[in-house]
Amino acid sequence: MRLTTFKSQSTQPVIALLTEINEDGRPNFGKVHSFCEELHQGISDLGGSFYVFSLKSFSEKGVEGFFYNQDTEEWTKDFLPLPDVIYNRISSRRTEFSKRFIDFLNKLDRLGIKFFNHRFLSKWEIHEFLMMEEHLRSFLPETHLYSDSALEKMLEQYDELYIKPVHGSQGRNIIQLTQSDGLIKVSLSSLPAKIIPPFQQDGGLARAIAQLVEKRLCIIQQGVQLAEFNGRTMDFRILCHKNAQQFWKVTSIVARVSAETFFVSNIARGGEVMKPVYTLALLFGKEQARHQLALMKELALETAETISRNAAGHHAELGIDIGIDTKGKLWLIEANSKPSKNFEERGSKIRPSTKAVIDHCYGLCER
Amino acid sequence: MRKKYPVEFIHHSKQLVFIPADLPNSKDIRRVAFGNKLLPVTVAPHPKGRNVIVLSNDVQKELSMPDLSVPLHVFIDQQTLFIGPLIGILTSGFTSYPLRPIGERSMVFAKLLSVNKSVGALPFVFGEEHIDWDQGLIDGYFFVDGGWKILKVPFPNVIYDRLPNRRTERKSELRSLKARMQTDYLIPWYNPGFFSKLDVFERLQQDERAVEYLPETHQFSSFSVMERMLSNYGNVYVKPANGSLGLGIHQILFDKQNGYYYCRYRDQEGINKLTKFDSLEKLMKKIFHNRNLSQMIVQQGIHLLRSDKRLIDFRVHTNKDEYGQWQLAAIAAKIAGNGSVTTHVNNGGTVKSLDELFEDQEERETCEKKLTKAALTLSSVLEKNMEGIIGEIGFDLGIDKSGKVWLFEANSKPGRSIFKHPKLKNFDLLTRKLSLSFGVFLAEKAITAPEELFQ
Repeated sequence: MRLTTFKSQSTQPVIALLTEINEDGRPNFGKVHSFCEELHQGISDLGGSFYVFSLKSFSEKGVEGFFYNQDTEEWTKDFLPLPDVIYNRISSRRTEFSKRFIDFLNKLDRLGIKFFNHRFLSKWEIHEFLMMEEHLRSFLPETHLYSDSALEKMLEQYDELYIKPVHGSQGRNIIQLTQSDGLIKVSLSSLPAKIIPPFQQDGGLARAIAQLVEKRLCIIQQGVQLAEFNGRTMDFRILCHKNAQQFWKVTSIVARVSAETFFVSNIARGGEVMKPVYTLALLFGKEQARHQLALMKELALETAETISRNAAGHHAELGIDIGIDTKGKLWLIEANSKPSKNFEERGSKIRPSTKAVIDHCYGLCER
Repeated sequence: MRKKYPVEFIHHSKQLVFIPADLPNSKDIRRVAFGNKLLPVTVAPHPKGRNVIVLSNDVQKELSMPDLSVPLHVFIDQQTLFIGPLIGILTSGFTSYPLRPIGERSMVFAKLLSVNKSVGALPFVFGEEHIDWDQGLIDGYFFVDGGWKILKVPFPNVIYDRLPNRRTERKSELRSLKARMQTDYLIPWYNPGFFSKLDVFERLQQDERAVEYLPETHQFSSFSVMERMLSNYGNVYVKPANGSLGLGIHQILFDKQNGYYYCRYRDQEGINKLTKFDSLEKLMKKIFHNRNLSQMIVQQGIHLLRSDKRLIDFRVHTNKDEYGQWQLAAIAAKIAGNGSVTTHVNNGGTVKSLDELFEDQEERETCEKKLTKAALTLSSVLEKNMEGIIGEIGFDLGIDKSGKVWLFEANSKPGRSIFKHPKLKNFDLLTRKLSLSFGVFLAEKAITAPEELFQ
């Protein structure tokens, strides 16, 4: 094994990040590229070692991965020792359904290599986990697996509905339905410009949606009248991590405000990030904002605990989306097991979420 | 198992009560009671032979009984059918924000109340300010369909004391509330107060079944006592009599070979320190110079089991169940942080289930048996020697290198945060269920055999 410049001491953990790597030209780790630089920095500061690899380069004898070469200041490919812990940042759900991925997980199990987050979670399984907890139910919008009859039933109860792919992320392919005066308006998150003429009740809506949904498995969810900030939709992203001692902690909270006149607030869809205390205090007053923020953290932690207890495999990082309606009530909107890293400020320092991930990796190695 | 019955309400203006068909001696019943409300009424077994309770709306209203679709218990005494029980959970620190009515403890209480269906009781949370003494009603905080709801109910059958701290408990309003509920209304009150560390040891000393678990423990009195303990045990622990979370715990070690004294502790900045002195006086003067030594406890040091050089101790919870018997409800191992005096999580400690700690199943079983026996023995001894009705206790226990079990502390209002650990979640659920199940037991006792409770 060549270990000319990749340093690893037997007493210090070797931590690896699994993701897709673009090797045309300089190696590029996609959305987590700068995050990998931070992880390298943080882990070397503690004396450990870090590298990045993709699924196809893993073998039981070692891994062909990229480590950060301090001398050349470049990510450098080498044949590297098996890691102690792998942090999964595969960005494609399809990859995680592949036979190669399943085989890989079985290998890790045999080798005793720790692995988190286990995989993408589907919106429907998350909903089922949370519904089992009586104390969380009132925070969940009514949700069903999509079907024509579910559509019909939900249209009777709510004026606003969302249809979301069970395996979707980043606000892609979401359909919004709003009904007023017997007309149902259809909007799409992926095609903001496209205008679909409104439907009459029983006027072929189900057929039109079937076309939009294609073969994707979807959920249909009660729309919540979220409080708006200057006329723009707002929700909150609470990033939670399991610490070295296996307890969930809140790492950061941001308010995400949508681009104007758009119904999803994902940053990937052009929204912006604000301080939660500031937005809440402006809308609800300081005293109420204090409670809302506290409840938001408590709710996020309960959600993270519930999901990680029920989901297969090990989960140590979750992004929880919580909304607040116009009356000030909190709603659990979504949980994401591959949360974006782009909400925190990034100065020269290592961000709290990077520290939290490293802390957890070290905790796993101690056990 | 006691039987629980669904309760149904029907629109009917004439006082109508059907009772479960399988109830014996039902034709003698002349009254129906809910909490402390009592209503003379004629009852009949369910005409279709169903095992349900049916009340007409007017009866429901007179009894102030909420419709929460929770199956309930029935107790019969002196021609009265008691439906319930209604369990009042007393606490303080209510907020004006309806989504988080009990502040940061709202989630804890929401989870506690959520076990109502499996227990078969109507638990609610209330504070001293929610009692209407004239009407005999309480604005109770119920957790219904996943949300908080305030409902007017009669005084409960039992009160479960969850006051958050000693300071609140000492308030005169709460002291008189407690006296009034117990003496004027004969409502059993369980889990009162907070144990004092020293008091627990002094009382346990009285019972020979407990003595084997007790390390020598004294209030600080003199250096000579400490010197003697150090020469007997090699090390002692010095800790505040009323401390918690492992704050202010010091370990003092004496090295017979070189005559030096060492003090291991966590300093103001949270750094674990080990400092060396050539006399005990110097050590005490330097380390405890601004502390009131008479508020400190000196305890025999135990050579605990270790895992990779780290100290291990155990948190064991016991609860009284629906038959009034002590049960082991939860057990967890705590492993100290590197170089730490204590195993507390905020001191770098980690929590594990016994399965995780012991690779050898036989070893795990032996350890579990010993801890269970110790905790159950200590529970019944403590119950005998302390005032009030005790329904749950949290123990900090250790096992030394020879396999002997030791008691470090017993807590009447034990924290539950360590049971948030993923592997310990079932324990969390069990302690919640048992703490309300014991309320069912007490309610029945207060109805059918009050003389056993109020002596």
